[in-house]
Amino acid sequence: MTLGLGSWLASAELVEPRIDELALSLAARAKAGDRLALRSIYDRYAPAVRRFVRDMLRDAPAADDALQDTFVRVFQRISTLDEPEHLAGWIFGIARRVCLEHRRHQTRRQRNTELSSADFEAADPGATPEALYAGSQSAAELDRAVDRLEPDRRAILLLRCDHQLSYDEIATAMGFSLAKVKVELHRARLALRAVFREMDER
Amino acid sequence: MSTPDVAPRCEELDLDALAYGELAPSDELWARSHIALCQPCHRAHEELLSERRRFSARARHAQPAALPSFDHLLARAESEPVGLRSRWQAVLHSWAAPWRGAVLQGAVGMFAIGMLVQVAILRPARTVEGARPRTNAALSQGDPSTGLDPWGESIAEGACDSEAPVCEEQALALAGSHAPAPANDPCAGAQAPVSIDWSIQPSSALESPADAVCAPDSI
Repeated sequence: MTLGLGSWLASAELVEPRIDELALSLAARAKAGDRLALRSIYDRYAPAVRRFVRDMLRDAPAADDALQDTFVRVFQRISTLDEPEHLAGWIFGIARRVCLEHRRHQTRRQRNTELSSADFEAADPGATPEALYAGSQSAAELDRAVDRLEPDRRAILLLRCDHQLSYDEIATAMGFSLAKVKVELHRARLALRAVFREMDER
Repeated sequence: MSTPDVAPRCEELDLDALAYGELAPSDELWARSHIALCQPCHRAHEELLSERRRFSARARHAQPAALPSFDHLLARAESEPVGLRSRWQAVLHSWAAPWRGAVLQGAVGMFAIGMLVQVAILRPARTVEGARPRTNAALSQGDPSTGLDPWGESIAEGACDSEAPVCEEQALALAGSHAPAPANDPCAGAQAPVSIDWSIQPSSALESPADAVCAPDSI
């Protein structure tokens, strides 16, 4: 972005808060002990959380463990959810903490390799092989670029660009202020572009 | 929010929100009218859109395999012990329920009012600033050699000064009659004929409204 960061921060009031009515009602019901609501929350957020923890850990088995740990905690602590309107941010916040714990406990078994093709399945069966190849190339490039970001910035960038969380939800997930979220997001974008430029130059 | 009539300046735009479709329709129109004319903002907006497209394509391309079973995770959640911190959080949340909060606030309010009554109404009767309780006992502690009481004033007969405590005067006025002063009271011959004990008496010992404020000693 070419605009000044200060003015961009000041323009926060322009953004209309998005209220996810479904998430709100699911959170309220789950807090009251409704298992069906818990299942709906799981079905709704588990795929995104899985992608997030995989991006954060870059280790498929560890990501699977992290996903399970995340939802076990979500189920155990749903009664303590303060802001039902930030359900997504709360779940991603737990996922982020679980990832940090996993990374801390990981005994350098860094299989820091690209994820095997068995981990993924093509979601767009109608796409041509060329398009799939181009898409996978582009996705792998983006993965590599994102991997080179510092963990907090990577998390913020993924939450915003990949999972499209609002600033408020990202602030909930990261435990940051709104202003810090914006600053870090801005820096993450600059860093990502620098990585892309560097990769292009090679 | 209402859209201003004037054209927006670059620093007033949130291009990120525009790229992610988070602006209200009127604001979006306002922002688009700006980026149509402003080259730097147009470029920045294009960059954000391109970034968004890349991430969307990546998300579409890589879908995860089967998820763990919900029932398995729920059973795990119910069987595994919850951390101490979570347990405390749950307790705090249960206490933070609205009606409990109201009860707690009411109790705190009542306590505060009680303390206020104690401090503002009862205490001054005992310790009016500047009032010197003139009990026989206190006066008897004066130093006969110097002729001074514990407050450094003369204990000689008629030495009671004009700064008699307000409460003492009120007590006498309300009582309507002066009780006889004890024989050893050095103030007996002075203006204030009764020595006063400023301590609170039990309610059963009170005989007149004046007693409620200042109960004369040795009556």
